[in-house]
Amino acid sequence: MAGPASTALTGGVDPDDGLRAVVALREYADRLEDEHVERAIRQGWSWARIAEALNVTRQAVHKKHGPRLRAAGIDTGRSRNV
Amino acid sequence: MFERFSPAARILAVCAIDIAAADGAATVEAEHLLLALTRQAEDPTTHGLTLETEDATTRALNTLGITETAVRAALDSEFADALQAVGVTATRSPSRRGRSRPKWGQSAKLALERTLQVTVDRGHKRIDTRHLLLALSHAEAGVVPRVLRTLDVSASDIDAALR
Repeated sequence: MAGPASTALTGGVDPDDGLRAVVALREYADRLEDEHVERAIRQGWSWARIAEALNVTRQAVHKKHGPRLRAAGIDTGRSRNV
Repeated sequence: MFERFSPAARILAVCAIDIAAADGAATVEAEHLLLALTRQAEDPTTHGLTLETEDATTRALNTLGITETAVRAALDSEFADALQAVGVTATRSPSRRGRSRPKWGQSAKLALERTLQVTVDRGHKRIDTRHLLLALSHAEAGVVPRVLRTLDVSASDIDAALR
């Protein structure tokens, strides 16, 4: 779905378009994170492994995604012991 | 500030939170306020809109063709265009679940501040949905002005439609 990012970073792009793109990319990255964390949990990944993959602490990833996934009825395994 | 809101404007704020939550947004943004305005205008009976001021907002939105469907379509194309501008091809994936409690985002906070300013400038006491629509049209950057441009609606169009 996602294509390669431009390497000519600001090349010719108007600030209104460029700054808007920054916000859209953040939103897009957040959505990607949500989807892939859910996918990983469904495939039985541990929070520790997901945290390592995302380069954040286990506490951070669990705090961010644990409640949402549990609310969606997804078994998050050992999450309660984190 | 919310204590100065008309009943419909209060319901609108709650509606914006609901829309943001249902869309899976982490924060309530100005575009959710715009969507809430369109939803209220399209289904006035469920939102208890009986005041003349709210009628004016509904009429203006209808006149300008600002419907929820039109705004959502414009939001989707604006998002894709925004990423395309920096060489990323992606669409906004529809969220499969809502978030329980999105917080007020900066663009919505700014819109609410501007709403108060519009109300004060016009010498009105009560903040109603007309003021909010005007305030949204005053945004200088961000999603809402870009979406309004996509819809081919200018701030002066909105101002004229409300008169």
